[in-house]
Amino acid sequence: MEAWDTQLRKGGLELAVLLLLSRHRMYGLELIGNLTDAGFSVSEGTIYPLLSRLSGQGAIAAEWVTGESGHPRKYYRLTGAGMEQTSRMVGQWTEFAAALGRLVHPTRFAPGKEAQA
Amino acid sequence: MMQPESQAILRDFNRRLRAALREAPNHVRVEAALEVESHVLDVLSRSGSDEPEPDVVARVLSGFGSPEQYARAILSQRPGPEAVTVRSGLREVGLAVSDLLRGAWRLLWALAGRGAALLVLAACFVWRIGRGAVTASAGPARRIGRWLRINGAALAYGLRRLSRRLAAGAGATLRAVGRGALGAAVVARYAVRATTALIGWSGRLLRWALKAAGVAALALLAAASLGVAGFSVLAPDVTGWFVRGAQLSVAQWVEEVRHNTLGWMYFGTPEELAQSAAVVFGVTLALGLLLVGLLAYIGWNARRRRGATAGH
Repeated sequence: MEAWDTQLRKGGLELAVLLLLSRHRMYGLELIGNLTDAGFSVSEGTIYPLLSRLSGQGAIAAEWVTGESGHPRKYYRLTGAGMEQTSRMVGQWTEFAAALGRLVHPTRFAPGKEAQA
Repeated sequence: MMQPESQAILRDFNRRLRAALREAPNHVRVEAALEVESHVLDVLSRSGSDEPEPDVVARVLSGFGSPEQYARAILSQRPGPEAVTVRSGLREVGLAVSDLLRGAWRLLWALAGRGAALLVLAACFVWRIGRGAVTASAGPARRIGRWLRINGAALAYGLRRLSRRLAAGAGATLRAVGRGALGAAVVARYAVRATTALIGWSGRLLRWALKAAGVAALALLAAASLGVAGFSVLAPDVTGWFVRGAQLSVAQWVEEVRHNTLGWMYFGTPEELAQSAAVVFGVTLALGLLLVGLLAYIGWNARRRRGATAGH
């Protein structure tokens, strides 16, 4: 059960990161804060390797910026390929959630009701 | 600014992380370590702790797990080995050349720093030899020359003690100057003997040439020292990098090149760079003023001697 929960969160985390970065560029700590606010409990040991993988895949791009913080800070932003991947993943997620929803609440998604709706 | 204990904890974490990532390409190791450091600084600056306790830094780092766990997480997210292509080969060669050039540049600066210190001392002794070696009329200078011949060993001993004190206080750069002074004192002792034997009354011309060269070298070094002092105020970051580069031993330098593509970012925090620049400023300003004082003394002495000669 725990393993299923972990896998579900892990799978959703990638989409959550891409969705957050589609708003504007963010650095690691900022991203963790936003994810925590959204209800994801995520540690540094999880988020940075994930960002590294997404960066390697070309979905996001990273750059070091030395700004007002006084020390170099790595900002991540979504690339064109990342935008396409995000919209594809959002479509798949919507479809998946709807399919699962039909099984979790069969009465709500009964063929007759769906037709009436 | 982080306390030394906190810095040590962070440094140790990154050292273990780089070691655990030894299978990964160089840029992955560097990026991972930099990212950890940047994250810790972000958390600390957000919490407003100017001088965080070591346990605070350890708590922030615990979010990554142990360095070995974090390294495994990074490696598990990486794709398999890249296919070796001409392009990937050229990229590796390019990175290696870039590392090599950066390292050579640092080494050059380190050598230039030590060489400049030796040059200053050599110029001082050449001037003294030129003054004191031959002429009967140059009383004080001759006495200095004789004293140097007789007391060379004592002078070497004194300089050795002085160099030890300086080394204890001012680190590797000043240690190099101390060693240079010791070596120059020994060399000067033999040089005085040799020059005295070689130069007779006909050495007047040589004496003047040596004096002029010594004064010119001193003036040049004084101007350069004051210039460097000024530069360390105008560009403390750059000066700090050079100093920290010069402080690296060859072994550290090799290690730096091996592990660090973005080398300069590891040279230290802005505070550390500023401290290095402040040391350069202090040392070079003192050296510059010393040389200017020496030049003034030379001028004053020459005028006095001219006056004494005219009086006769």
